[in-house]
Amino acid sequence: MTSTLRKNVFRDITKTKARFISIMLIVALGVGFFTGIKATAPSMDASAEEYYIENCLMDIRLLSTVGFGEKDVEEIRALPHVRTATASYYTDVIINSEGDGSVIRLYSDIKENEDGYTLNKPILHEGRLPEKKGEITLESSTFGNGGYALGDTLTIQPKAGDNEVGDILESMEFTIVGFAQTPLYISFDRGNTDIGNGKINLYGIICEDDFKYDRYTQVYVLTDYSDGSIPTLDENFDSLIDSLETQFTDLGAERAVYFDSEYLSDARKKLEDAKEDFRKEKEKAEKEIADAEKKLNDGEKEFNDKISEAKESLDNAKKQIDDGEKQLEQGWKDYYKGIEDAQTQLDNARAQLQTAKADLKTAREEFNSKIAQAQRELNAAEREYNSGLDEYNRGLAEFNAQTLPAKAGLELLKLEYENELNKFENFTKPDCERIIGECSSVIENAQAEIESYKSELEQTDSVIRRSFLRLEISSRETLIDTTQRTLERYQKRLDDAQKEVDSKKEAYDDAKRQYEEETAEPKAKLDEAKAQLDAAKEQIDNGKAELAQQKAAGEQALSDAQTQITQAQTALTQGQTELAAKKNEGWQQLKDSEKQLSDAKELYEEGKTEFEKQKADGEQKLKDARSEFEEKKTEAQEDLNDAQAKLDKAEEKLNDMENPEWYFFTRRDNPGYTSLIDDTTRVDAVGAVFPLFFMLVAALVCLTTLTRHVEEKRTEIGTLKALGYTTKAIMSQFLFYSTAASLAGCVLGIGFGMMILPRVIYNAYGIMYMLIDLKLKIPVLPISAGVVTAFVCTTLVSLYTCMRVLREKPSELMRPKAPKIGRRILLERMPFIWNRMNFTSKVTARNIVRYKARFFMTVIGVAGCTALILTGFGLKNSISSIADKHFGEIYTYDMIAVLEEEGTAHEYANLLSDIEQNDDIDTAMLQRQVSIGVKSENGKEMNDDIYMIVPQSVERMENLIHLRQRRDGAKIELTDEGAVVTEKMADKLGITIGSTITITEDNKKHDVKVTGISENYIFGYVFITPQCYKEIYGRDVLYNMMLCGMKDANTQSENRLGAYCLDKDGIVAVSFISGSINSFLDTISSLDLVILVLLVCAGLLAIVVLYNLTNINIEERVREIATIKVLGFYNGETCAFVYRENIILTLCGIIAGLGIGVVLHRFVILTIEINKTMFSRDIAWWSYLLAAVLTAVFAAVVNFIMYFKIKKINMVESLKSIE
Amino acid sequence: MSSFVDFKDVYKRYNMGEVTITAVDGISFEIEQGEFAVIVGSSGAGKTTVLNILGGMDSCDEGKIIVGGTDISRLDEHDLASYRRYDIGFVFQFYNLVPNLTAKENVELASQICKDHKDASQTLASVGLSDRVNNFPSQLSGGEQQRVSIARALAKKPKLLLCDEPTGALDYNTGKQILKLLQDTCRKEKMTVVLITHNQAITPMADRVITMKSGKVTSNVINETPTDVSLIEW
Repeated sequence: MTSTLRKNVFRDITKTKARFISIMLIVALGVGFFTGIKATAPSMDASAEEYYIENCLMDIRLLSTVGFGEKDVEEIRALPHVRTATASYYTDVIINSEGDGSVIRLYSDIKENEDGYTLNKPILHEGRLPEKKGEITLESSTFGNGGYALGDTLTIQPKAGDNEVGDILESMEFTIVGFAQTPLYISFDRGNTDIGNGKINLYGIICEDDFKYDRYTQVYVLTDYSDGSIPTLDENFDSLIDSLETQFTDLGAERAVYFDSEYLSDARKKLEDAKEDFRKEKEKAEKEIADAEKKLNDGEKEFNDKISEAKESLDNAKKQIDDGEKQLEQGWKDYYKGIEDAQTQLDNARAQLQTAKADLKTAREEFNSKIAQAQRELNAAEREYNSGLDEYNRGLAEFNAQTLPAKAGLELLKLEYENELNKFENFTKPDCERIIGECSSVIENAQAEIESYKSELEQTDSVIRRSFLRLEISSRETLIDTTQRTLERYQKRLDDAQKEVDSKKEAYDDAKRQYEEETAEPKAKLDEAKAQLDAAKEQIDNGKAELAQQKAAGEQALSDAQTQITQAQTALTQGQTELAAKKNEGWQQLKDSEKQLSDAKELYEEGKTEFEKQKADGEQKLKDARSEFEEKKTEAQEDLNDAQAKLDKAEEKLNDMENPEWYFFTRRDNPGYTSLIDDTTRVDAVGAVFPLFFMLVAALVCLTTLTRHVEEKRTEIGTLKALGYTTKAIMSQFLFYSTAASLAGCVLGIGFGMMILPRVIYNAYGIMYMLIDLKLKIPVLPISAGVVTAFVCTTLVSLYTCMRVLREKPSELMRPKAPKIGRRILLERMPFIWNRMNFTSKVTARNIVRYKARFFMTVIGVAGCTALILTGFGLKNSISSIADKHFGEIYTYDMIAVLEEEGTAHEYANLLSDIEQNDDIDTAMLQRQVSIGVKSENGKEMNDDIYMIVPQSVERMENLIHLRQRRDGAKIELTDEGAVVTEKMADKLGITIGSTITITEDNKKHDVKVTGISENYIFGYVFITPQCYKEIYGRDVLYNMMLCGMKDANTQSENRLGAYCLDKDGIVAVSFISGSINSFLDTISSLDLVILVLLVCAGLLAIVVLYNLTNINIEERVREIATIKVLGFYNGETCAFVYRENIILTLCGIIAGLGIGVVLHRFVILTIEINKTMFSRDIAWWSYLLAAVLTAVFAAVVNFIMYFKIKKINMVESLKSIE
Repeated sequence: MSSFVDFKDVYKRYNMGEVTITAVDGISFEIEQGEFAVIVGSSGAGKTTVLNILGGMDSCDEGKIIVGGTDISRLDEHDLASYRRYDIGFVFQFYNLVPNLTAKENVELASQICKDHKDASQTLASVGLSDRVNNFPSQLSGGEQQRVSIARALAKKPKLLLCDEPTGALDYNTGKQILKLLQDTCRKEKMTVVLITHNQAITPMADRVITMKSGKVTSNVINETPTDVSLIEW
C-alpha cells in the first residue's frame, strides 16, 4: 500500500465514519453478546470450581447410624482414591430466640487434619473462629440484617425433638465470636431436619469440645478426583464419585462387624447384669409396699363403719328437713302459681279490655267515617238537587217568558169574554129576563084573563057581556100579541147577547186550546223535571232523616260499648286490688313456715358440722397415713421406673446400634449445589441460541453495507486500476477498511461483552446464591468463533466484492454502473390495485421488488429484533407462569409431612384425623410417593426425578392435586383403570394415552396402562389409584407421606403447623410449598435482568440495522431524492417517499419476527428446559404486542434520525454528473 | 414595468475552509418574459450557481432576485419548494429521471403535485414520444430521456424553464433536436427559457445572450434576429 493509498483509506474512514462505526458497532454487538454470554457460564462454573477447590469442599459425606470411631476414619483414609478424610460432629438444635423455632445446625470446627487439609474450610468475614467452649461463629448471612452482632449470645432450647440437648452439647449458651461462610452451602437453602419446623434456618460453627458425643457423627472425604484435574461440575465427576459408593458401604458393613464385637457385646453384657439387679430390687420393693397397704386398709375400714352410723342418724334428720323444705317449696310453688294464674286472668281481662277499647276505637272511627261518608253523599245529592232545581227554575222562567205574549193575548180574550159574560149575566140577561118575565106574566095574566073571559063567555050568554067579553078577549089578545112581540124582541136580544157571549167564549176557548197545545210539550217536560226534582228532594229528605236516625242509633251503640268498657275497667281494677291483698296474705303465711323450717335446719346444720368435724379429723388422719404411704410408694415406683427407663434407653440404644449402616452422600446432596449447575447450564443454553442469531443479523448487515461500500467506489477502483495499481494494492485498501472496522468491533465487543455480561448475569444469580468472587474465564472457542465470523462477514465479503468489481475492465469501471433496470412488477398486472396507488406507493412497490437484497436484509434485521424481544418476554412468560400454574393451580397443597414408616390407611387413620383437626389444616390426605423409573413401550427409559404418587383416594386428592390437560385445562379423571402420567415425561418417552408403561420400583417391574397425560411443570409423576395399585402390586398401599392443604398459609401458621406436626409421633419431617415457590420466584427475578440485557441488545440491533439500511437506501437514491426536491416536493413529502419503503419493510419484518420469535422461543424453551422441569409454552399476548411496538419504536427512532439526513440532502447533487 | 427575471447585485460565496470562493460576484441582469435566454460561460464561470439560485435550489448571500414580481431571495425553505413546484421547470443535464417509473409516470410525478398541469400523455406526445409512454428510462435513448425530462418540466406549466446544459450528454444531432424542441416551446408557448451552456456556438439561437466569466456578467446582449436551431452548426 502506498502512502497515498493509505491516506485515501483513512480519509475514506473519516468521510464515511457513520458507516464505519455502524459496521464496527454491529460487529461489536454480535461478537460482544456472543462472547459475553458464552463467557458467563464457564466463568460461573470456574468461579464455583475454584471456590470449591480453594476451600476443600468435600466430595463425599459419610453418615452412620452409630457414628464413627477413630479406627473407622483411619480405614476410610486408607481406601483407594481417597485423598483425605476428616471426622467431625454436627447436630441440629433450636435457638431460643423469639420462639419461632429457628433451627440451627451446629458443626464442629474443622481443623487442619493430618494430611494438611482443612475440609469445607469456612471463610471468615468478621471476627474469628471459635476457640473454646461456648463460642460460636455464625454464618455470615446472619450478620447485619440477620439480626445478630458480634458478642451476642445465642441460647439453645433444652429440647431438640426427642433429644435432650444437654446430652449432646456442653454449652447451652454461645457467644458469637465471628461470621463465616462455608462452601457446603452455595445457595440460601440450608436443607431439612427432623426437628422444629423441619427446615434448617442457619448454621454455626462451634468447638469440637462442645459436643458430648463419644463417636464422630460424620466423615468428610476428599477424593483424588477433585484436585482440579477434572471439572467437578459435570456428570462425569458425579459418576466417578458415585462409583466409589460401594467401597464405602462395603467398608461400612465390614466395620459394623468390628463395632459389634468391640463395642456392642460388652455393652450388652452390662445391660443384662443391670437388668437382673433391677429385677431383684423391684421384687423386694413391691413386697414392702403391699404390707404397708394392707395395714392402712384395715384402719380405714373401722373408721368407715363408725362414720356410717353417725351418718345414718344425721340423714334421718336431714330427711325430715328435706320433706319440710319440699312442702314449703310446694307451698311457694302453689303460691306463685295462684298469683300467676290470677295475674294471667287479670292480664287476659286487661288484654280483652284493651282489645275492646281498640275495637271501640275502630268502630267509632268506622262509624264516624261512615256517617261522614253518608253526609258527604247526602250533601252531594242535595247539591245535585239544588242545581236541578235551579235548572228547572231557569227552564220555567224561560218557558214563561216564551209563553208570555200568547198568555197575554189569551188573558185579553178571557177578559173580553168575561166582560161580555158579565155584561150578559149582570145586565142584559136580568134585564131581558125581567122584561121577558114581565111580558110573560103579562101574557099569562092576559091569557088567564082570556081564559076567564072565555069561560065567562061560555057561561054567560049575555051578548053584551059576551061582546064585552069578546072585546076584552080581543084586547087581551092584542096585548098578548104586543107583549109577545116585546117578549120575542127581548128574547132575541137575550139570545143575541147569549150568542155574543158564546162567540167570545169560543174565541177564548180556541185561543186557550191553541195556547195549551203549544205549551203542552215544554210544560210537560218542565212538569216532569219538577216531578223528578220533587222525588229527589223527597229522597234527600228521607236520607237525611235516615242518617240522623242511624247516627243516633250508632252513637247510642258506641256509648253503650263505652259504658261496658268503663264497667270492665272498674272490675279489673277491683280484681287487681283483691289480688294484691291475697298475695300479701299468702306470702306472709309462707314466710312464717320458712322461718320455722330454717330454725330446724340450723339445728340440723349444727349437728352436721359436729359430725363433719369428727369425720374430717378421722379422714385427715387416714389421709395422712395414705399419703405417707403413697409418697413412699411413688418414691419407690419412681426409682424403679427410672431404673427401668435407663435400662430401656440403654437397650434401645443398643438395639439401634445393631446392624449399623453407613450412608453415602455426595456434593449433589448439598442444598443448592445442583441448582447452581442447572442455572449455569441454562445460561449457557441461552448463550448458545441468542448470540448466534445476533451474529447472523450482524453478518447480513455487514454484507450489505460493505457491498455497497465497494460498489460506491467503482470509479475510484477503475481510476486506480487505470493508473496502474495492482489488484492487490487496490484490494488491500478495502480489506483494510473492513478489517479495521471488524477488528475494532471485535475488540470493543469482546471487551465490553466480557466485562459487562458475565457480571450482570452473575449478579442476577447472586440473589439466589452466596456471592463468590467471579473469576472471568476467557472462552477461547466462542471468541475465536466470533472473531472468525466477524472476519468472514467483513473482510471476506469485501474481498469477494472487490474481486468481482476488479474483474471488470477499468474503462467499464469508470463508467457509472448501469442503474438497475426498472421493471414491471406483479402488482402492475392487477390494474385495479395499481391504478389506485399514487407515485410514492408505486415507486415504493417497485423499489421493494427491485432491491431484493435490501428487502431481505431489512426484514431479517427487523425480524431478528422482534424475535429477540418476543423471545425475551416469552421466556419470562413461560418461566414465571409455571410457578403459578404448578404450585398455584395444579398442586395446591401447602405442606408435605413425611411419615416415620410406611403404613396402611387404617394404621394412620388416627394421625390423619388428628392432623385434620388442627385449626390451620383445611384438608389432609395420605399418599404414597416413591421414586421410580419409567420405561415406555418403545424402550425409552427415564429414571431420575420421577415419582409414583398413590393418593389415599381420588376424592381427597381433588382438593390438593388438580390433574388437567394443559391445552384446554380439561379435568383428567384418575380412575382405577390405569395411570395418569405427566406431560414432559410422556413427551420424552413417547407415551400416549392407551400405551403401557413399565414402572420400576426397587428393581421390581410392573406394567400399567396410561389413561391420561396431565399438565405438570416440575419433576415427573405417575398417578395411580389405591385400587389400581393393589391390582398391579397385589398388596395394599403403604403410605409414606401426608399432603395438607392449609386454610391460610403464612409464615406464622406454617411455623405453628410445622412444630405441631413434628411433635406428632409418626411424622419425621415437614416441608412447605411456599419455600419452593420463593426459591422459584428468585430464579425468575434473576431472569428479568437477563431479559433486560436481551432487550437492550435487540434494540441496539434494530437501530443499527435499520440505520445502516436506511442510510444505504438514502445514499443510493441521493440523486433521486435531490431531483424530486428540485421538482418541488416539500420535506415531508420527500421523507414519506423514502420512509414508506422503510415502514413497509419494518412491518414485514415485525410480522416475520413474530413468527420467528414463536419458533425461537419454543426452541429456547426446549433447550433450556432441564429434565425435571417443563416450562410453559405459552407466550402472553402482551409480549407479542410489546415486541411489535418496541420494534416499531426503534424503527421510528431511526426514521427520525434520518429525517435530518434527508433534509440535508443538497439539491445541487442532482446537477452533478453520475459517478 | 420591470422585467420578468431581474438579478440585482447578487453575490454567492462558498466557504471552503480557509478560502472563500466567490462563485457569483455581484451580478445583475434582466430577462424579459417569453425570451429564450442563454447564459454562456466556461466551466467555473458561475453560471450553474446562477441557475441554482434562479431555480430556488440555492440561496444567494446578497442581492435581490425578482422573478415575476416575487423576490425569491427572501423566501424560506418551504416557500422555495412551492416556488419550484409551481413556477419552475427544470431540465437537467443528466435527465434525472426516476428509474423506477415509466416515461409517463415520470411526467406525472411532476404534474401530480401541481394544481394546474398538462396531461402527461399529451405532453409526451408533444415532445414526440407518444409511442414510448410506457417505457422505463433504461429502455430509452439519451435524447428520448431528455425529452421525457423536458416533458416533465413542461407538464407543470412553469413560468420559467431552466435548462442546465441540456445537450451536454447528448450527441450532436440529438442535441440539436432537443434545442429545437426548447426553442419551439419558447416560441409556441411564450415561455421564458433560460439555458446555460458552455457552448458558445448555440448563442445565435437565443433572444438574449448573457456571457459570464469568473462570477461576473461580462455582456448581456439582445439578439434581434435569432437563428433557427437547424441552421446552427457547431
